[in-house]
Amino acid sequence: MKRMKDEDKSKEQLLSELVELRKLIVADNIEHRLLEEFKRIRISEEKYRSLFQDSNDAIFIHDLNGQIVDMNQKLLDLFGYDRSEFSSFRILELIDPDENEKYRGALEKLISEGSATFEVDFKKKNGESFPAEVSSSTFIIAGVKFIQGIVRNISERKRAEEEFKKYRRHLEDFVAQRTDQLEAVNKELESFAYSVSHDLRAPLRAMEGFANALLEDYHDRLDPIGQDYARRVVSAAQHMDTLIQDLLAYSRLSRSALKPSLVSLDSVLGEVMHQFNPEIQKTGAQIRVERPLPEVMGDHATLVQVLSNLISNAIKFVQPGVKPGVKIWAEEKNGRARLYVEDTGIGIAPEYHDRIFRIFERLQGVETYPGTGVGLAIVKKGLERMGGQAGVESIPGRGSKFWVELRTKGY
Amino acid sequence: MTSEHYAILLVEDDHNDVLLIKRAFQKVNIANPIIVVHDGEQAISYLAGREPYVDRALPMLVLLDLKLPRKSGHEVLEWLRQQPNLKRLPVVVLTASSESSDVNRAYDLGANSYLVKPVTFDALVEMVKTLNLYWLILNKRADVTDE
Repeated sequence: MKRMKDEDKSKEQLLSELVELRKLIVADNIEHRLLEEFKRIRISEEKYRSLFQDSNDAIFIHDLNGQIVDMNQKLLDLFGYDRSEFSSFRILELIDPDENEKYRGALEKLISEGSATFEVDFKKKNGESFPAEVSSSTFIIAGVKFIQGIVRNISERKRAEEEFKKYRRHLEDFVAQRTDQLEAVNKELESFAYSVSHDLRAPLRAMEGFANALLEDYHDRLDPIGQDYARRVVSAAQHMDTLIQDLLAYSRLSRSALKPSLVSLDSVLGEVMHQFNPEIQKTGAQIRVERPLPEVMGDHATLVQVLSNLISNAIKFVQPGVKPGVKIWAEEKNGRARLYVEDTGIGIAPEYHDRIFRIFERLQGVETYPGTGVGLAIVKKGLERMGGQAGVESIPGRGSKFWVELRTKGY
Repeated sequence: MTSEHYAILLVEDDHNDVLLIKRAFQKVNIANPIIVVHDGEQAISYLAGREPYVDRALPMLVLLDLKLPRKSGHEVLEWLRQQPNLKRLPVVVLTASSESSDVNRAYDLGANSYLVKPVTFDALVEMVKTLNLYWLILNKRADVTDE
């Protein structure tokens, strides 16, 4: 009963409160303000909706279960579905089955970090799949987390990448093919050099051999002039043989790839000196070597050839009747070693210091100083191939000082 | 029976070289007869005792050129080293090539020695003199039989 009374009382009270409220509403124009507020909210909602709907990017929104909750027109255009079809999917159903794991991985990252960008292959309604870059982020509405993703079709970019790869492969193939061709040409050159060494020398052996046979077996039937002719045949054949050998050595040097390694100049010189023993005894040459010589980066066989050419010149180019004197030593500086071969020979005028290193250049007649004009060209080419240099310091009549310079260590 | 065979088989296609090598042998007074064949196939026929060499005597040494018609010296060498009865026969390569690829291949295939033909006759005589002393006189031979 008491309660009823209370109710009655409150009814009255309520009524009077309502009247007061009504007065307030009218006074503050609240009705109008509420309407304005609704309008403002609607405009804002429309603004964001159209921002979402008319965006140039394709956008989807799904919940944490992957259920699609919203998408814009661009996205529907991209996939070829209509709104109600698309809304029935879970996101993984729209992704190429092979790529599901990838998307799950991206989601994990997305949920822990708030945003993620990744590439994934989607499936269109017509069954086609296309590569896409997804830039996605999480957001919360009324305490519920959602995921939104902006989808960019990157077929074009992928195609361009593919094209680029194709060009690269093409270029690689092209280079490989060219290399093969060059190798073939190189092989041809080698077989040419081989044929020169074998075939050209055979007739020379015959000329030399039979002219010799004439001199020995028909000695009594040849007058001095006839003997002189036969001797000229012999020496011309020998000269041509040296020329062929030198040319072959020079061409081999130009062609073959040298693999520089640490070479002991002492051991190179030892080998060369052994080779020159008969020559040294014949000429009475004095050869003084200041040991130890350093180790240099070079090719052993090429260095033997280079040093033997330099020493041969040092012994050869002396005034008639003069005993050759040769001094060999080395100096090391800044990771490079310079080996000097100094002689007491006839010397070279400064204007010829460059020319003598060119192939077939000769300063002396073959009669006085036999040779082919290839020796110093081999020295220069050999040093170039080993990454070094060669040169000469000389004054006519006071001897020459040839030098070769090489690195003492690897790169 | 092997000791009776003291001929030298010269496998050489260049007739000038044959003449010069024979002359060098004369100068050094080597009594061993020289049998000459002119290509790789003839060399194999001779060593195998095929027609027309059925009655041939095995040589004590083969002097083998490398660049030969029909079959190269390398091929002859390869064949020879595969013959159970002939494989120990000493072979000295005598050729114009000093290319390291030729030299290495010859040794790989079982050459006993490798000599480069010198251009001067005097050098050839010196070479033959040494060859005689080493391969025909000093060198102890292994058994090489026909069966």
